[in-house]
Amino acid sequence: MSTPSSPTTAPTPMQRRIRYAARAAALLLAITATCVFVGVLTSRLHARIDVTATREHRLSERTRALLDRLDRPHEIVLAGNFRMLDPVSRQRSEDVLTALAEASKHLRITRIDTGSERGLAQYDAMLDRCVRQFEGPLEKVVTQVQGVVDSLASRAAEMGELAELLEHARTQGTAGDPAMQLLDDYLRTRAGMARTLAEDLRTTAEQAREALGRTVGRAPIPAVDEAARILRDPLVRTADDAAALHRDLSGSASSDRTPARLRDALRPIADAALLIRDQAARAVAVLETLRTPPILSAARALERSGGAVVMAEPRETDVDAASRARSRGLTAIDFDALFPAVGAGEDRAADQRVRAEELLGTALAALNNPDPPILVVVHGESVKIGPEFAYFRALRSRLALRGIDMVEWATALEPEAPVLTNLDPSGKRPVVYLGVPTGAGSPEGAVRMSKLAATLARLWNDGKPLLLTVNPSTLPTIGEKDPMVEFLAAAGVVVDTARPLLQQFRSPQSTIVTPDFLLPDPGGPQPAERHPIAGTITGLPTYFMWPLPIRSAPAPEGKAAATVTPLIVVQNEGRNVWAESEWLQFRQVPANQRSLVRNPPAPDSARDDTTGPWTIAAAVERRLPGAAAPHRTVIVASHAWFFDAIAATPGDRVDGRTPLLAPGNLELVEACVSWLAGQDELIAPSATARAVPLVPPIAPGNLLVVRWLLVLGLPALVLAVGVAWRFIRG
Amino acid sequence: MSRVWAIAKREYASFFRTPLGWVVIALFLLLAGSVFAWGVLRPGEAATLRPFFNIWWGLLMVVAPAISMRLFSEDLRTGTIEPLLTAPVTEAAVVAGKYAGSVMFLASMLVPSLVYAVVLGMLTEIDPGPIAAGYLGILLLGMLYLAVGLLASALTSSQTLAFLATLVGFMLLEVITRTATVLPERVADIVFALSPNLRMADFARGIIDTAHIGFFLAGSFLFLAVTAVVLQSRRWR
Repeated sequence: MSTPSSPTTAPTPMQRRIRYAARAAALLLAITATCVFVGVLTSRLHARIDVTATREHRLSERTRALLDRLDRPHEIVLAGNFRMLDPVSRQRSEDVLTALAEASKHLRITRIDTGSERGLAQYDAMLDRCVRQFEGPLEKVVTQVQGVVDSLASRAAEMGELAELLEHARTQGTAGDPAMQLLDDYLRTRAGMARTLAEDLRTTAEQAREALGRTVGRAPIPAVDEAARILRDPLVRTADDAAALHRDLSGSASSDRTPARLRDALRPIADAALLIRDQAARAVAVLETLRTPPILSAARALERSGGAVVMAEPRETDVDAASRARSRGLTAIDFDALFPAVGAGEDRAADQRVRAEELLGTALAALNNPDPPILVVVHGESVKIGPEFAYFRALRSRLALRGIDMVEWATALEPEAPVLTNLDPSGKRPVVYLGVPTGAGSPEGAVRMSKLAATLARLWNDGKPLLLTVNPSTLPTIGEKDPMVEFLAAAGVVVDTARPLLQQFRSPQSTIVTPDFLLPDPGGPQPAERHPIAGTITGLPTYFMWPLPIRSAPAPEGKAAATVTPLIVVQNEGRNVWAESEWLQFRQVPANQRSLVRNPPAPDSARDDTTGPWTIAAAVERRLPGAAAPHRTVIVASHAWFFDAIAATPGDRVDGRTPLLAPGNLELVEACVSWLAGQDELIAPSATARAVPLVPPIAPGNLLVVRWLLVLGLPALVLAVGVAWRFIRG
Repeated sequence: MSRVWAIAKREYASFFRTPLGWVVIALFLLLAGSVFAWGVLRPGEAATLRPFFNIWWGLLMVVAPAISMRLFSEDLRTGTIEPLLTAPVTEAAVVAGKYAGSVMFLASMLVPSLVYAVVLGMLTEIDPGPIAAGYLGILLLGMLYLAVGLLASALTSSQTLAFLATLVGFMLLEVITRTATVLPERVADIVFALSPNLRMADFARGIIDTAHIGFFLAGSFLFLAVTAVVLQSRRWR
């Protein structure tokens, strides 16, 4: 007997719907999961292919190597009013920041547009954050400067008292005594000077206090650098005056010719002067050894128009607060340096991307450079310039941002090089010497110059890296050798200090001759093997006064000739430049009156060099016996080219910004220092190393026709084709 | 595959059979031409089509729904969807064929715009790399937009509704992307990752990122698959 099978029941419509819906939902889920998986997979394992002809989105080998070396978190904050940038620069800066962020996991990028209220608030918050990181060192510096202000105020009071004591001493036997007339005059004069100095010191103390009450731009940092600058000179003067007073009064107090009562009166004054001298000198020493935290230089760089702040977190291995503070890095690049307002011709624009990449890369490298160079400024002046380097403050600020310290060596006062152990206890930091020429207009000046020349020659012979600047000299015209450059001849390098370059401009009314050269593109055309230093100033206006020709010559027998690479060459395309041999009288005319000279120098092919071109800056390399690396020297045959009067002079307003007249000058110094220190990887090429093609000028009428043809002509053509199509095809 | 190709060819030809296809191309060229003439062809500006590509996503936001709105809505309205679905082709093949036809139309629409690159090239030296990358990006973005539009078209018999739904969807995504900075960082990151327009920026500057290609293709496939499921659901509803 068979068992009947149970009949199969057909699914109800509802069951069928549920089954289909479940199947559809499962399918959708599977597809979605697959798509999400593919999306995640491709975002994790992706390749970015730069299809531009110049591979413009690929970071340079140098930048990639720098980024690979980053071993701790870094942050770049680009802050500025981006609306003031042209669209190309804005786009390019965006590209480079994106490329940098893509290239390193240790790098974070933040953009702050200070053109809006919200952006300004973010900018202030960022500055606050930076300041907090350096709170301790900042407080220390502020306390130190505050202490100096208080010391100055005390010295003012003491000087006032000293003036009273000096007046009182006059009543102790000098007044009315003809034999003591000279001493009486001296005491009276000194009392007056002390009163004046006391008043000056009080004013200075007030000014310094005001400076400490001000902030550096928007950063909540007291203007401690400005206060220190205000304080230094009056304190030096106080120490000098007090020292002189002590010396003179001590002499009078120990002289038998001075009445006993007066001697007794002068002794405490001399002691008081000694005390003032010591305390003022101590205060000067505090200012000279002031170690301002990097946030101060950064705030100064950002003060005018913002820029990029590059920050490095402390290393994980630095556990204690002191070493964390040391390894925490911060530097800044001001907006105008990052995006200089320069062009590269009518149909080309400077490629700001390259420059931004190189500068940001350089800043990162500087933060991670354990051994930034020390620049020793070697000069022959009769007094010290002081740690503020008053004549080239812009250079000092710029180098400070790279961690480069500047030290002074006044060869007329100090026969030996300054001791650098406080800056470089390990002795690893490269030391570069900057030779600044001095005038020999007096016998005393000639002595100072000979000391300076001897020092520079010693540095050159010892194979020290040297950045040499040169002045015109009258010595060669009287058959003497110029000691400032004579030592170079041993390596076949000749600087013609007897014939500075002049240039002539003719107008219908007059002929103007000038020794000033503002070179719009000193790097010149782009040779295949351009020296890295020349690459930094390509397309950047650079200014030189009284430049001198440099040339190679055969080295003396038995000596190896150096390799001389021209960095800056002055062309004579308009035949209006020449090397003048009779220039002395013209040089003595004040610069602002030279255009009024009736018979200015004129080229004379018999005695002048009128052919050109002339190299005015050159990199020199030579092999020294036993040295592993070649000895490097850079000669810039012009004087004062890095002084504030030239390098910090503002130019014309461009795109709402006021760039420097000669932004190339400071670039040149920085590049020279890096090259001389053997840190070639820290040299940043200029913006115009590559240029962006632009839409060329088109006549307005033609432009309008082309535009309307494209806007209306093309759609009309398509519609006409459509009509024809329908007509043909039915 | 031959059935897909047959549907694609039929769909592509249908765009040119009605005045609408020609008008859409003309309208697109009018807008694109205006952007090029006043946004790119400016003496003294960089000779690149980058600003042009950066704006094109906005044009596609309007043009893509205009192309896709009729793909299924028209069939749904006239009832021709029934014979189509009862024909010996799968829903996936129908979707793929109609989608391929619309992509071909989009590509045809882009061809006349090459005139802009030619004009720029006649004036100055241009880099063809970023231009090629830009066109690739536009095509991928257009493919994604068309896939979204196809889904909207499969959901309604009203072309207007399909057009508006697609357009509003794109605009909503754009608004969310623009305001994402106020969202928590993780949420904002997800929003940015889902934004097709942000990805377009890389193509515009001459970078072809395989992640972006993967995103556009996977996104398009997802919407096409959903469209196929929607069509399939008509059988059992």
